[in-house]
Amino acid sequence: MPIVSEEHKRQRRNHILLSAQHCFAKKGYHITSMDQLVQHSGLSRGAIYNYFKSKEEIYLELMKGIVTREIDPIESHIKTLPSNLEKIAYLFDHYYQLEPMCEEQKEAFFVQLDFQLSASRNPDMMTTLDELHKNMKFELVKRILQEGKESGELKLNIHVDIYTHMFWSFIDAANMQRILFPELPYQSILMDQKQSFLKKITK
Amino acid sequence: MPIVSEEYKEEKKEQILDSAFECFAKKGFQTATMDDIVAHCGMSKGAIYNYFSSKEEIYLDLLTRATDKNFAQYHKHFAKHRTASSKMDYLFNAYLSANPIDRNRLEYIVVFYEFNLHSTRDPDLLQQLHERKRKLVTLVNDIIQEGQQLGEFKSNIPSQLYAERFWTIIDGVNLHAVYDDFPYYDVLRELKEMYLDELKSE
Repeated sequence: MPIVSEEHKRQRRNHILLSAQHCFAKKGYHITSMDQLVQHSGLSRGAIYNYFKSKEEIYLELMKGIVTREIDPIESHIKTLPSNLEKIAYLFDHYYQLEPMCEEQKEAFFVQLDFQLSASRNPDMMTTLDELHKNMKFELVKRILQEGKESGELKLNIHVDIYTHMFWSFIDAANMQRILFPELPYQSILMDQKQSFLKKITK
Repeated sequence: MPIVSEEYKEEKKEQILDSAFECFAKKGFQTATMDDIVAHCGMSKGAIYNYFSSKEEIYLDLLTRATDKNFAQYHKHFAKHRTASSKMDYLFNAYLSANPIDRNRLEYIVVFYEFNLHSTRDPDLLQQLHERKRKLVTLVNDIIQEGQQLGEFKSNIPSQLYAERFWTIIDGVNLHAVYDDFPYYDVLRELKEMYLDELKSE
C-alpha cells in the first residue's frame, strides 16, 4: 500500500465534501444516493468509504465545514477591529458584501437551510445543528455584545441573548431570500436593519 | 359517469389536502411522493389524479388556501382599525400570539420552507411563490403609505423596503422556531419595537 500524505488525505476529504455539497444543493439530501455521490466525485466507492461511513456522516461533516467556512473569516476580520460597535457593524457589512455570491456560496447556504429543516425530524442532526449554532454563530455575536456592554459602548439594559437571536434570525432570513428571490433588494434591507440595530444598542 | 356535486368535489379535495400535508410533514416535502399520498389518503390513484396532477400542485393549493384565509382575516380586522399604527400592531401581534412550540405550526413552517427550497429548481413554482410574496409586501406597503399620508409614520421612509423588511423579520423568527430553545416571543417583541420606533413620526 502506498504511503498517502496527510495533506493528500485532507484534500481528498475536502473534494468529497465539496462534491457532496453540489449534489445536495442540486437534488436535495434525501433524494441523493450514495451512488450518485460516488459518481459525481469521480472517485471509487471504496475510496469514499475510506473517509466516511455513510451519506449521513458526509452530511454532518459537510455542515460542520460550511458553518466553519462561514464564521472563520468573520472571526479573523473582527480581531482587527478596535471597538465592539465597529465589530457589530462589520457583522452586517460582511453579509452585505457577499454580493454577488458565487455558486459555491449559494450551495452552502442552501445546504445549511435544508439541513436545518431536515433536522426538525432527526434528533441526531438536531444535536449537531444546535451545537454548531451555539458554539460558532451564537457565541460570536453574544461575546461582542457582552464585551460592548462591559466596555461601556452599549446600553446596559439590552438583553444580550435576545439581541444575538435577533441578529441571526434576520441574517438567515435575508440569506434565504437572496437564494430564492435574488431580484429583491435584500442588501438595502440589511443596511436598514443594521442602522436600527445599532441605534437601539448604542449608548 | 355519475354526476358529482361541487360540494362533494370540495370535500374530496380537502380530504386529499389534509392527507398530503400529513405526508409532507412526516417525510419532508422532497421525500414524500404521490404514491405516499395515495396510500395515506385511502383513495384510488385515479381518483386523486382527477383533482391534482402532482404533489407540487397539491402544496400550492394548500398554500393558497392558507394565504387567502389569512388575508381575509387581516382585511376583516383592518376594517375595524382606524390608524395605520394599529394595523401594523395587529399584523405583528398575529405572529406574536402564535404558539411557537405548537407541533402543527412547526410542521407547517418546515414544509413551507422546504417547498421554497424545492422551488429553486423549478422556475414556474418560484414564480408563484414570488407572486405570493408580492401580495404580502403590498399588504404592508399599503399600510405604511397610509400611515405616511396620515402623518403617523415618517414621510421619508421608503415604504416598499420597509414592507419587505417586515417579512424578513417574520421569516427569520419562523425559521429559527425550529431550534428548541429559541425565545420566539421575546425576539419578535423586540424586533417589533425596533421596527415601529423607526417607522413612527417623532
